Amino acid sequence: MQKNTPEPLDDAERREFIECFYRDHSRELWALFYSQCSDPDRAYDAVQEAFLRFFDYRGEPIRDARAWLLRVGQNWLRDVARKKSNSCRLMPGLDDLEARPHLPDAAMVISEKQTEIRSALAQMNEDDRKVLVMKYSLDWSTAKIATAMDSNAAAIDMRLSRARRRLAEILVERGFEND
Amino acid sequence: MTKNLANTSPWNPSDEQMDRLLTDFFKQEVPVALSHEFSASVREMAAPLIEGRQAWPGTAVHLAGPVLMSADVHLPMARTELPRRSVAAKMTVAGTLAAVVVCLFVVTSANRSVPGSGESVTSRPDSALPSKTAASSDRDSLPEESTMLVSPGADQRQPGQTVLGSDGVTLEETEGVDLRPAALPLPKN
Repeated sequence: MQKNTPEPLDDAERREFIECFYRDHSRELWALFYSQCSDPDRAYDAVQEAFLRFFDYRGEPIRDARAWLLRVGQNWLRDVARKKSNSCRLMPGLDDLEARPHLPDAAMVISEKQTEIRSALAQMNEDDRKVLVMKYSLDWSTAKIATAMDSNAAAIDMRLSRARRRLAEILVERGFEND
Repeated sequence: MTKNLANTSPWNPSDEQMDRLLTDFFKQEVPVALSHEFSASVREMAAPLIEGRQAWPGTAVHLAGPVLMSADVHLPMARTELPRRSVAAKMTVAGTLAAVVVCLFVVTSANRSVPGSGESVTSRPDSALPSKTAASSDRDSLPEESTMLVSPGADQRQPGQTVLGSDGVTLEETEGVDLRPAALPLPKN
């Protein structure tokens, strides 16, 4: 999973390395950033910011690029959360038109549903949200989640079950009903 | 998505329903732009801005994905340099200025009176009297010039006593002549 860059690369090699790394890890980084901020667009911005800084970085060789990108993105998200005004929004739905050809009514229903669940996730604590994201967005196994969260599989299973139940309660409190 | 109505039972999802709900939710949640290539989506579009940032270190570049980009470009005016002129261009400009100055000097000199003529060059040839300005400037600039006499004896100190013609009549005498015709005697018929 992790790629190391112990030796300095020239520009072409560096570009190729970053391209490959983006293909392999952007989805995972987005999910981890999403678990931190509960905002898909902001998590996407964090991914882009992290890779852009990685592209421009000319300092000491980075041993663990994934960890470096994760830290840069998380720091950027913290800065944005403090400022609360520095985030640029994608045009809602404009970028998704080609990939998700829904009728306007259906698209609106889906959008409202997404907003409700997103808000409910935002009310949960970060560890519960992170477990759900790793399970359902990254499709990680319980063992892998346990490794990432420095825990064991049984505890992760229990945490997953509890997180799902907690999310359902929040959704019911908010008057959500899934058709 | 529908809201609960007052007469409906509360939604009580099972674990399987929550599984399906969360799976569908995260499928929809992932931005489509995330599947694009990094260089194709952002880097290529941002290249001009990033080059601008490298040219002016104070320039801030904010990227928000392939759809929307914004840049706060504050270009300090002091850093915008005009192209330097070559030495040949400078010499050409200096030569042109020198030629203009020489031409102005020549034209100014030519406008002055020709020495010994008593007339301005610029005065019209059919003009009997030179312009007052030209004449006064001639007097100021050339006090030693000799003037051309227009009437006999005009250079004498008492011009009124100058003889005007061969009959010896002076200018004073002409002023006393009564030019009105005398009453003629009626013819005797």
